[in-house]
Amino acid sequence: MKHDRADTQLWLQSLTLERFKAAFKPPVISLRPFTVVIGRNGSGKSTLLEALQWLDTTLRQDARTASNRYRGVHDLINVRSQKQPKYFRIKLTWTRGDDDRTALDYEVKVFEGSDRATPLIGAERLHFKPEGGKQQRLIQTSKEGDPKRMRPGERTLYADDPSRQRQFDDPDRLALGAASRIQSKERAGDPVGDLVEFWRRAVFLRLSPNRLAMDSPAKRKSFDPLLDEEGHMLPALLTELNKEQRGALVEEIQKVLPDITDVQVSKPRASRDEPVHYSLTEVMPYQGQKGKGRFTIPAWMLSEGTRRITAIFALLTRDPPPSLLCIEEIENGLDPWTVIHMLKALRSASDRGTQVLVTTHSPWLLDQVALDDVLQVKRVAGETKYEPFRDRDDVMRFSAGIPPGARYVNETE
Amino acid sequence: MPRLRVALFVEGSLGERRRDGGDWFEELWLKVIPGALGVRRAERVVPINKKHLVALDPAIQKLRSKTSGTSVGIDELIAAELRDRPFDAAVVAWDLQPPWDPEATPCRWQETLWLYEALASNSSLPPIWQRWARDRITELRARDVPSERASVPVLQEGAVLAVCMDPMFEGLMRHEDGVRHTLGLRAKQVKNWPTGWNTAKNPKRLLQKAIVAARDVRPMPDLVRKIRGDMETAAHEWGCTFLTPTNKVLLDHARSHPIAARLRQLLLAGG
Repeated sequence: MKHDRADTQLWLQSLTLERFKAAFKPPVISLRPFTVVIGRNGSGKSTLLEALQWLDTTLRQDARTASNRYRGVHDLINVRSQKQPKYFRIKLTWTRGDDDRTALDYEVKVFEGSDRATPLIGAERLHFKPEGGKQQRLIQTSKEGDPKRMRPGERTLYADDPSRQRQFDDPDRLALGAASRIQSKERAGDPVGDLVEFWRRAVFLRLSPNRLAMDSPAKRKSFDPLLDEEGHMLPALLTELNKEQRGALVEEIQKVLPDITDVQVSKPRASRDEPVHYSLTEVMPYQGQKGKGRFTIPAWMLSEGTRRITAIFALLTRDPPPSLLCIEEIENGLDPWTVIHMLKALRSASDRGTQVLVTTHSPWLLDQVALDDVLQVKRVAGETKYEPFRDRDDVMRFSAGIPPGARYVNETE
Repeated sequence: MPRLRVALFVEGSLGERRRDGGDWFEELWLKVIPGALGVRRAERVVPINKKHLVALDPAIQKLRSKTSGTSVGIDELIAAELRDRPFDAAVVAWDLQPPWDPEATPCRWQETLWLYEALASNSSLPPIWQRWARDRITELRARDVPSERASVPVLQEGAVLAVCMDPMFEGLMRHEDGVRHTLGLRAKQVKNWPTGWNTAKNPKRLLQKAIVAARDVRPMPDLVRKIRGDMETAAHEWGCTFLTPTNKVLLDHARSHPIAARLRQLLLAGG
């Protein structure tokens, strides 16, 4: 299937979940350069994003850290799973730009350790199929892990290339991460390098207005994402923007808040470790000689929506921007006009190479989205289903003039 | 006879601010397009979207759950604008395809009928506006085929003239050479430059791809550096740029486009 995507970088075309959180064994989930996920509470919207985020955290740190938010791996594995040993599996397929013929397939199987909490990487596979070429096995599992003995899967990096072949059996780190380190030293232009770059710039947001208002370190750590989930490191992100990018950010904010004229980050005075904060400069009327003046408004005095848009627009104006930008309930704290503008900015970013995946509960937001870009999540008899909106008869029975949000709230229950 | 005050209701939105504090949407429709197409200048322009039109669709009225997304109809919007700042006549211009479904094939004839039916029955409009709409719907319904037009409707007090920009306003700028010329890419090979300039259904997507491709050219063309947004975030600023008076190649194309011909016909007739 062809999409409006002009660049040649990797984009995530599909995701398959097995026994992960709400998803027992749904069919392959197709993703687009711009995808809006909608569904009722508890249907499994977050499951999709969290699977990707689990992988992201495991690559940045390790599987234990990635599972910490669930207090171990036990609860992450779908409760319907009676099969022993207990595991979950995530499969991903990337293609390059519009070219469906070049595919990169990755799969990881994670066992529940014998202590019922520790994740154990049981199997991993990365295959690359260049256009018209022979499939390359970049990661292959030679021996699957054994959770009873707490033995991780034995994986071979570059299984088809004896000169670079290495064995890997770390219990909670992915061979993909190790492959990337080897790759960057030994050979440029390897698809693994592109994949590593994809994950390095992947961002997952569940923005917290409180955390967005707090002081943060002036610099992020090398393994941290461009912006952390709650937005606490926004001052550090703003520090990374050069003058031109900061100007572009102000222009973007002005489309929603016309009186904002600058974005500033405080400078640490005592030491480099001193936390910093950001502020916006606003032109406001006051009883002075000129009748108006510029006022600096620190983060903690900004509205919730203003903090959110500053964070998202800062990510979009960064160069290079995120490769994958996942945002939970994007409409939170935003007025209807700002929602429309935010969607335009995200669509524009998607055209420029950022894959966007957002969840929403808002029919108003959905009304601004193309039918093709909507993915609906439904929970039917305990099964979570991810279906493209356009493939659903309940949705397509309406006449052409009915916008997607109205279709969503009027579909058959 | 005093000159008629005409209000334009066109698809678009306010919010793209110019450096001088003005708005690019108003600049495009009140200055650039009248200059480019040689049509009269309207007094004001009001942004609408497709939902203001499809709100008139009986199918929307029958929905079990109404949503904020189903909006109010154009008739209500015209009545509210009249109360706010009076004008004598209106031209309503909408895109054919709804943004949520580029594959859809709405019937513009049906949409036109909805518009006049809604205007004719809206009691919050002044009587002269309702009367004109009633006469119009009677004339339209009397036709055996939609194209059987006896005469071009004339702008007069209470008149609302409709134009469907088939498929959308950006069609005026669907001209590869003109776009390349504007972007300063005439002789250059540009990676990811869009194809299908004569066949693509969605001219806005074509222009968007062209601008995105131009952004990757090094050195980046001055114009693309100057206008930071694209057809998603700065559509009206790009519209003003493409239709600038010095851009002869693109202007010649725009002037010969059926949308331009229809706008000229409506805005020049009468008044």
